[in-house]
Amino acid sequence: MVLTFIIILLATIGSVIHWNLATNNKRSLVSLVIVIGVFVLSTYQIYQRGQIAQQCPINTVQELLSFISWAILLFYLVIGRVYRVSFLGLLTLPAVVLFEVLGLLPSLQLAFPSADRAVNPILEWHVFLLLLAYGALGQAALAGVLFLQLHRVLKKSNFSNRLFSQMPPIGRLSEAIKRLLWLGFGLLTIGIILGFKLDYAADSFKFYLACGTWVSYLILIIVDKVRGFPLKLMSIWVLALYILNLILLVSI
Amino acid sequence: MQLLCLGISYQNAEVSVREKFAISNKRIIEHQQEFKTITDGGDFVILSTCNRVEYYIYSQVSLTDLFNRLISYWQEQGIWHETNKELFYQLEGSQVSQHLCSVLSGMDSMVLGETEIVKQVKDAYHFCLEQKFTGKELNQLFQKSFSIGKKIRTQTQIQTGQVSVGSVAVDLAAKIFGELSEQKIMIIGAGDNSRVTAQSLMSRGAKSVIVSNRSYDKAVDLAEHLGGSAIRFDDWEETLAQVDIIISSTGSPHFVVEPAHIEKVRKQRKYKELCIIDLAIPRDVDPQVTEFSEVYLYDMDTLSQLADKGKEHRQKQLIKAQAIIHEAFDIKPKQAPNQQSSPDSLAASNFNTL
Repeated sequence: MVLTFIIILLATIGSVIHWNLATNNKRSLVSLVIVIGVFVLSTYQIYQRGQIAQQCPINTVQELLSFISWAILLFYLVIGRVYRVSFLGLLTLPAVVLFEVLGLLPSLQLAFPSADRAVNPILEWHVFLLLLAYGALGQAALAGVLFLQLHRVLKKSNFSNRLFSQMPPIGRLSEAIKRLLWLGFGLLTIGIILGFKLDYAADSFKFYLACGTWVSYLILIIVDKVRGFPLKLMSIWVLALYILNLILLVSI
Repeated sequence: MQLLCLGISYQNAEVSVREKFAISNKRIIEHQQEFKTITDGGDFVILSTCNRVEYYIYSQVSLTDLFNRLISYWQEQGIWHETNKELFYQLEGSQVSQHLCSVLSGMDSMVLGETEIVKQVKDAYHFCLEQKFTGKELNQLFQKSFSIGKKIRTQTQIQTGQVSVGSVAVDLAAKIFGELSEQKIMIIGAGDNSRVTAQSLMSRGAKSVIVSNRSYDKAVDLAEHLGGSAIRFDDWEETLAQVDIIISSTGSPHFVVEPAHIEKVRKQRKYKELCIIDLAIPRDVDPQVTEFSEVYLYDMDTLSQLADKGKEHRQKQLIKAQAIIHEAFDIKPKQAPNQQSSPDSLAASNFNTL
């Protein structure tokens, strides 16, 4: 629990510093260092929980949310740097704070019925891949939010927006959204295939949710590939789908 | 021995006068003996750009003598006219250092904050250094000024924001597409405005240009100038599906580009982003095209407003920049009674003429 609070504190400080730098048109390695620091602490938190449970720590909604926020950080560190959309960090740390704070709700700390299961590597890989997929899709959603903001500024010619000059170009955001979408979809696919090898009697709703998520993202990808999708609409869909899936994941 | 500077710039002299005093590196070498005589064996760096010609000298010769000697030299070259005398500024001592810092930071440039001048000064200095025309004092002056100029550029925002319609358009296109090298541009109307804006885009990496104009010959001329291709005016609609950026500047009294044109090609374009720069007055592009989410339209009003904001923003940086120079040379800024430091007054008094 102490570690969770440290992560929340550090991510909050990082968010404030990053926003401050961005609105003053400055850059600093400090924000990246903090992101890496939060990632390292999140990794350790997952490891620690795994050591206590003696299995992959996926037994409460809090643990799932921590995993997802870890995955979002991972994809920011990988995709953000690669596609030069490091500005995504502006939204990544607040997302981590949100997920970790949500996870503190007492109702989200109750163990799933399946928590008393025997250790099952296939189950653990299945859940791990799904959570990784949620991380990639979460980062796509954040890129979508960034695009929607930039789109609004460009459409209204409201260039006095203090973040405008630092925002990455739409072209780069578009590429990032689509690549993250594909990546998330790919991980989701492998995770679901593994899920079919499992007996899902107790937690079938989560599995059906994952399948529903898979179908909805598949439609998005096919439509974009075949006929094209205005990026504004795609960003809204990516964001809406992700929020819906998170709500369902958290509320079951 | 003291630091001296004699110069002529766009601020006081028209290009027809400045170009007479322009001097190439080759000519400096050819006339190096004359310059050594003029400076009594002193050190010199000569800066010659399209907007200024300046002589930076470290010598025991007085400023007045130096100017007279240079006038004699120019008279021998047949380029001197008595009316030129009042166009020259003459600086000595710390004024030289301050002026050079102003030049290097873009404070003294025609386009405030422009960056090309840094390379020009560095090239001029390194040339004279290699030719052994400089000495310890001038080396120190230039090295220190490079450092202060850089400090001004990093600690103020004197070079941020665009100040011309063309560069604003380029910035907007870059904000949409990122790299412009893979974007296709279509010019509708081969006028000067379109040409300048297209050149700005190409200077930032855009390679593919299609020009369309009512007069096909003019389209061909402009296309050749830009290294692109020309199409007949009737064919521009068919090309719309392939392009990413449209620059429109026809003299048409009614809209040339309408929503129906965009609607027709949306699916074919797979809803890819389209940036339209409308430089015409009256406008060429129906504002209703912005109803399509992937279309970004900027007209002359918007671009001019942005350019003006850019100029205003850079002007505000002058006070900070001047403070950095004063701090560097430990100078207390002189103020007349009841005179406040404003960007305009700073810009105007950027160098002192004796």
